[in-house]
Amino acid sequence: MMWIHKITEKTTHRQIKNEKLEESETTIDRGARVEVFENGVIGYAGTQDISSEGLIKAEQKARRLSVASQKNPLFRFSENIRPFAKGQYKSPIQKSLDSVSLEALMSLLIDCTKAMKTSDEIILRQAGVTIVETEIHSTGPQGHETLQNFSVISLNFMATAQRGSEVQYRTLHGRSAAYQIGAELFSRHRLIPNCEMLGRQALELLNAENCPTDQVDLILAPDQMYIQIHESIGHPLELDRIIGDERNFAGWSFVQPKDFGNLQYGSKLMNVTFDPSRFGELASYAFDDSGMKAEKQFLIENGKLVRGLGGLESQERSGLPGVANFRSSSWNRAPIDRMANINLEVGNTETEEMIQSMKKGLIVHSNRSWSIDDYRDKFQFGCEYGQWVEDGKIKKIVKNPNYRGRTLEFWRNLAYVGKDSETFGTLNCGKGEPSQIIRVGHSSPYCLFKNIEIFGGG
Amino acid sequence: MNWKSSLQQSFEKNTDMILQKLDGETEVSFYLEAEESEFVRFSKGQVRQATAVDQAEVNLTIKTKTKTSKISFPMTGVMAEDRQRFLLYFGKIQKELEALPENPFPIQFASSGQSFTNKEGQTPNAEFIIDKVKADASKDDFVGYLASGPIVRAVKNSKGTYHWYSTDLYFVDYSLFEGQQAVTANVAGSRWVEADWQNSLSESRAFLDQMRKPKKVLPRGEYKAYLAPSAVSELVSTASWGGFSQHAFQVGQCGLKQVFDGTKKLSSMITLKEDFTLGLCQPFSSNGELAENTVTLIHQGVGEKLLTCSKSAVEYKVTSTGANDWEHAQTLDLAKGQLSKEKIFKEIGTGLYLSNLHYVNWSDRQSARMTGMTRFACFWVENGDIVGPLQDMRFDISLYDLWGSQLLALTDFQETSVNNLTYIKRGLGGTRLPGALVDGFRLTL
Repeated sequence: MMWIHKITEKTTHRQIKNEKLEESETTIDRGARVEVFENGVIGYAGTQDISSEGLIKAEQKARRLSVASQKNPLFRFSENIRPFAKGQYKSPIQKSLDSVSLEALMSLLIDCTKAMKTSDEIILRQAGVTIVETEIHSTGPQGHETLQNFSVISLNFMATAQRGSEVQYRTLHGRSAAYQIGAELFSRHRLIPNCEMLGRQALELLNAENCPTDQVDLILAPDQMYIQIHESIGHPLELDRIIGDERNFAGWSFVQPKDFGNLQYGSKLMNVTFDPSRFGELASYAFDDSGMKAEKQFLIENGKLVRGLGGLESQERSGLPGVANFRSSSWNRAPIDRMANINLEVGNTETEEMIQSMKKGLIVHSNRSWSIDDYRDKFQFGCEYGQWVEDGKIKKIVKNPNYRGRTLEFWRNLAYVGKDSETFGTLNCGKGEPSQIIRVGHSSPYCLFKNIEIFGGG
Repeated sequence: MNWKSSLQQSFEKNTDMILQKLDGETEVSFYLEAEESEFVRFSKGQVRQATAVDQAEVNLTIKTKTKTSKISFPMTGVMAEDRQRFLLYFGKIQKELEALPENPFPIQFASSGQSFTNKEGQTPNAEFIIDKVKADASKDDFVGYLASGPIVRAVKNSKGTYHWYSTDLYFVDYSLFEGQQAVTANVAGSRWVEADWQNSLSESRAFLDQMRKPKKVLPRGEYKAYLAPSAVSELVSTASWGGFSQHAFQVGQCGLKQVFDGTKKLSSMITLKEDFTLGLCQPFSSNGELAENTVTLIHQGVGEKLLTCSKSAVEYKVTSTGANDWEHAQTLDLAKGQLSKEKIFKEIGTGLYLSNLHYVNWSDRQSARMTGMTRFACFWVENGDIVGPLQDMRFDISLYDLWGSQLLALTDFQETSVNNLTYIKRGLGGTRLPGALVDGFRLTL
């Protein structure tokens, strides 16, 4: 049996620095991945020659690799790992990307950097837009055919302030403002006030005290929650990690197969879903690369671990419940288990109520540093902007806010979950051998965690 | 005609075809990145996935007196097909140039002559490594992968510059596991050397033996530590993202800013160079500029030169070092010191032996602070003897301290490691580094 995935992707990146052009670059990528399935083993070959001669050559290579792999395969799969699929997906776009001219886009970005200039101490103002348009056309046996079109925009806005040797910056949501969306994102009346805010807050940080070292209540804004979810929920739940494929590179997982249905991962307020159907979120799609239909599933329900992030191959190997997340970064890599949209479902607390509940604490916004161990246990995150809270009120801004902790203890200390969710994402989640980067989305409300170790820079 | 020859012929003919179409106002530069690769991934000593990839990307930069733009597109090595692509994308980028604002810092394409380097080798294919792992590592819990085949970088521009660099390379990057204990290793080269492979497996198994002892759980605190060259590599590789960059320095984001503005001096043992004479990568940039053979970044603890690309050179009115556009190091050499291999454990006395680090990231660039984890074969040592493997710990430490007053010694040997990154495409380059003995290595979690 054979499948062919033809992938065409156009990425344009435009960036303005201090009201002048900094970068303008377009990347066209086009290729096909041919997959040959024989005796329970798939061989893969990627080519940029998508003529019939090119595809025949790729098929021969894929077949050769399938035969070679059959000599010592890790697993012989049944045909169930490749379900028949037929259907289409298109990113939800209100306004076509062609509706905004290059001149208009550049003019908007120039005005964005102007808006960041709230003082002469704002020495660097950058406004960048990356637009990705992807088409994945998959065909296979007996009329199997899916067509998926994605329209993605990522915003990279940054204001840097300097006074003497002190340098501080603010970015738009820690560079996580990335969505499936159309040109409606280029709304001047939404972007300009955000840019003014970045300029103001970068200046505030120049005047701010360093974050203290303490153990306090900690509120994570949604643009920090996204990476907390990503690193300490998404990656450890990937079934291919749990069954050992990533041990040489990305790592293993503290989660064991026996934990599904048993492990109390976090407090009862914790409900986490795999949701490829969420409107506008970065990793929404209809089918994964195996053809499995993508549907919303609970991974953690009332704090208990119920399901892992593994496609049909990992499900067959492990016997564990999974989701449709068998995805490759492009035509030149074989699919593996990837995160998609992993979201923390909303709770019932207003952010203001959370703040009022704090005797002493910290609110952090926008990630700037991240690190976690290969079992996804001991983490440390740094953020751009902190707000210090005493007696239920925000008292001052603090710079260089950091926190560290251990995954299960941290999530079990989840004390409040906000009512309103915000959505972010990244184009660059890395994993795999050979390595792959892929798009993931995370939605979350503000959340409060009890008794967290915080510290500053320097 | 093989893949490399077809690609070269198509690249030369089609770039010439575009160069002949230029008017006097327009300049272009073509940068080719290509590979014909086989990847075989293993887990538990068996094949998880095998993938063959032929890929080639042309990065076309176009400029007039006041404007610049770039487009990248795939080529196939099939002359007629590639001709259509070159024409199509050259036309598109020409048209787009009209709509762009002026470039405030237009670079000059380099006129640096011509060169041709073809490092022929004989790299293992999928069948070979599958048989090898089955024969030699079937009793091990072997996990990792082979990346193998030719890699090409070439640049050609309208100033008459043409440099071609192709090399046949492979690496097997692997770990051996026993339960949760593991060691990691890398075997690499331009042709298979059986003895290197067998020695690597033997050394890995010997290390794994040491890990059967009970795990040592340490409290947070500061410890004397030996960082093996592969652990030093993790720090140096992270430092190279912004730590030696002219642009990052100019905008206050250089992780080693105080070394380069002269307000901090590192240990006089630290002499760090970007050294293209190691032969690990192409010595030219994407616009045809030849890199300096060696660029001394830090000399005996004092910041000397920053990696500077031609764009930064124009913008900040400094001299280019021929660095790539990102100004990250590609082929770093840290000078060796005087600590011999035999004395490492004696000099540790009581402390840490760290073979590898994991997920290292800047935690505060302004103070050169980095955080990361210990990983793989890391040990607790008492009175010069290994007591047992270390439970993984987080560290958070300033390079100003670690490479400053806390640096006790560098080893009198260096290890060369090749770039094993394969995001989007296989990387070139690598490092040649000694091990380092330090005091006050701060474990935080």
